[in-house]
Amino acid sequence: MFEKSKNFSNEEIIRGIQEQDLEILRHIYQEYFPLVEKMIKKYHGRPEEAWDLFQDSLNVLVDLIERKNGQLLIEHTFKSFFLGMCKNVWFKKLRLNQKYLEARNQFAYESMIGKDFDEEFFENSLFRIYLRNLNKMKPDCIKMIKMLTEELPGKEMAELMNLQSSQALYNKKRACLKKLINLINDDPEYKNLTEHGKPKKN
Amino acid sequence: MENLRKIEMYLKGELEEDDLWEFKRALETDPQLAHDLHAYIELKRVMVQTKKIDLMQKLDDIRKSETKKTRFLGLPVYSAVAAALLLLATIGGGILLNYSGNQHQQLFEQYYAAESGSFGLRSDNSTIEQTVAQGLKSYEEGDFKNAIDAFNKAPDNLMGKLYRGLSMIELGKYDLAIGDFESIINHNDNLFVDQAHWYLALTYLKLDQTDKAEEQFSLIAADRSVYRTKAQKILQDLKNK
Repeated sequence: MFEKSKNFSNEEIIRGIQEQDLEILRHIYQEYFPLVEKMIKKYHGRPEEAWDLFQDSLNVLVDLIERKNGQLLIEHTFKSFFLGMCKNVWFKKLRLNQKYLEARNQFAYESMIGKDFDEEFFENSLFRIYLRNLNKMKPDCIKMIKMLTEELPGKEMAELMNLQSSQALYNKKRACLKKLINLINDDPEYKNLTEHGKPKKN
Repeated sequence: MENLRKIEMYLKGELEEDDLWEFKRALETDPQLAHDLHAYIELKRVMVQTKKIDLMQKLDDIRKSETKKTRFLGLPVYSAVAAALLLLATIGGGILLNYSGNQHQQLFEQYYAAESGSFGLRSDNSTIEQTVAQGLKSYEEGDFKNAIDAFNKAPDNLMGKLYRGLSMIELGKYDLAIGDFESIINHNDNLFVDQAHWYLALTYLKLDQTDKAEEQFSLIAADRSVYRTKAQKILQDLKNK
């Protein structure tokens, strides 16, 4: 039950992330999440920010792998690559928050990825903020919004939601969307991200 | 989101020329409309990333199961291991789980994640009976016994039934949990049927009642349940055992 993680090569890890292999994902969590927690502590973050950072960094990595069609070459160990990326993502977060500016200036900012990743950082942060707020909603609203984004026909949606009329469906849809958008608008991380974190257009 | 109908028609390209012109003009003068349109587009952009949503769900499940391991019986891992060894020694090895039983436990641990009770408290308090709200609060605090006491006072409330079932799981009273989940499923016309099917299936898995578990997972896998993908995966795992 408490067995130690196996060792995996960089290629195995990259492939495992692409295929969402549970063994590889568990390995990444077991080996690197504690290190991300330590890093956050060192760089003036709150403990609960470590999980957000871990998820954002992994999502950025997913984008990088996709951009390279699965052929992402890592010249370092996966550990130093991933932690370097977490550090970069963290410093991008710091840039969004005035209270961290002073802390940020204490550290050198060095990208290990080569190419800047403002776009990936913005999109993945946005993605996580939406999911976090969606999960705060009631199950019926979560179901409604998922169906809405899948663009299911109205009749099918009404049936699945046990609603009797298209007006009832519309009212429910509007109420759920309004609730979600209010939650997002009130999310301080969203405010910071959209005010300061939008990627610059080339 | 007062203008949802128009926003949807605009995005689907269904606005007639005059209405389209009016809509575009309104976008320039009505900041609320512009904001709602932007939010709607943003939401759709996020929600189409189903692969990433799956990845986040898997990571979340891993985190929950790992956190459970490190807090086993509220003890640090090594103390917990020692406690477990002591317990095994006491039992004298008389009870050994067979291979498939072990696998079912692993699947249960992998997929069972305590449902958050906080959503019911955060929103729409007015529609939830006060006792159920109190029960959800106790549930959220991990005080499952008090949660059950509160839910017992509102026996017809379906949300209360769902969380009473989940509290029973947390206390290891699986047979009682089954009763609550079945009652929600039999009622049918409510918002908690998906969850009831899911937790009923997991409870059967936990009890090694594989046929019943498979039957439930098959129902979920064939439906548009939010648990469909997970159910399909478990069925595959069970088939490969």
